[in-house]
Amino acid sequence: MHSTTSESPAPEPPSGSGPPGPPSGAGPSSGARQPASDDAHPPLPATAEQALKIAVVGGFGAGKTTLVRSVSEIRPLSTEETMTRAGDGIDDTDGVEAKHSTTVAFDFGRITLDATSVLYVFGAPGQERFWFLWDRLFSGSLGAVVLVDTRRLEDSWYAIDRLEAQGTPFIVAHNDFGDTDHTLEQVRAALDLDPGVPLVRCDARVRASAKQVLIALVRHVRSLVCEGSR
Amino acid sequence: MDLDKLTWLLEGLLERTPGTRHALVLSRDGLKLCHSAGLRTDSADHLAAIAAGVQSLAHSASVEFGDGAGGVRQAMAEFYGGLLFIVEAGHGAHLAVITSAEAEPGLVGHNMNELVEQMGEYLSTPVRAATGTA
Repeated sequence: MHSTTSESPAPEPPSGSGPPGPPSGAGPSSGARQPASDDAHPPLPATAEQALKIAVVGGFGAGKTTLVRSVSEIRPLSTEETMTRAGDGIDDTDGVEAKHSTTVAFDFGRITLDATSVLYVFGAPGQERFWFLWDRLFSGSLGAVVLVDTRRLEDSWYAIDRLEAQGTPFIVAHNDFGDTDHTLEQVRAALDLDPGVPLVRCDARVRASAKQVLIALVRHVRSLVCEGSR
Repeated sequence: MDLDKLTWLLEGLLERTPGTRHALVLSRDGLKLCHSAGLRTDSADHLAAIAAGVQSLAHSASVEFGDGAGGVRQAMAEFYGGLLFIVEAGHGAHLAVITSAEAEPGLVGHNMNELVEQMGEYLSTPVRAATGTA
């Protein structure tokens, strides 16, 4: 019942933009550039020196765009396009009938972790015709989140295969669309997931929940690094 | 939508524009609608997805850095061995053209826009109905 995408990419026309802001490293009070923005955010601190990249992948309609949007502190770059009739019979919306738009390049969001670390989140497009973009999105990434919708589990196999083949660390997040009569163990079994890969449940629409997914990934990556250095 | 007529118009564009190799009309969500005969089906599928992504990113650039009028006039990529041009073509569709490196960009762009005007009504790709009737 939940739409995984909002209706429009919410472009913000530059309504009478104020004076150009000071160069980077401005204090957190330069709010004048983003009037009436619902999520006014502090600019990236000048002390940020460590950029970490995370990729969000998964099948068509699993909620990748929604997750990036939920966690980003900046207005996310979104490349959603309205789905056209040319996709009838190709872009299968069974189970996600309320879906009207689809990502055609990638989503991009940013979270400042602390004074020195910034997390960049890249959401991949879901359909097969855009898979050629994935390797570029994965390159240089710390790890990946595979978002799964239990109504369309098979859509996530390709993402898991590809990450395993590349050796990119990843976790799986079950995006709860209100169909939660599956236990996480059942989801794990259905995906035939390696026991070492963490599986969590989330609601991609909720910022706190989406954040927990990223935290789970960072913990997983850290534990792999610790194991490797032992 | 008369795809045969569209394809014929695409071939005409290639004939009268030196250096052009392929022409393709795609829906904004990245699916081919029709293309010139020299383009293999797999390449056409690939080009449709690429062009939709490029156009969408170009649109984001226009939102961020444009004058607020919105819209993308033309996206272009120059690579070794050729060029890619994309223009909007009617509601929900784009026209992509691949040329050799020797093509004259001004002429290609001009002829593409001329063609878009010509094909006008053929080129709309309706939005999918709200209920998924796939």
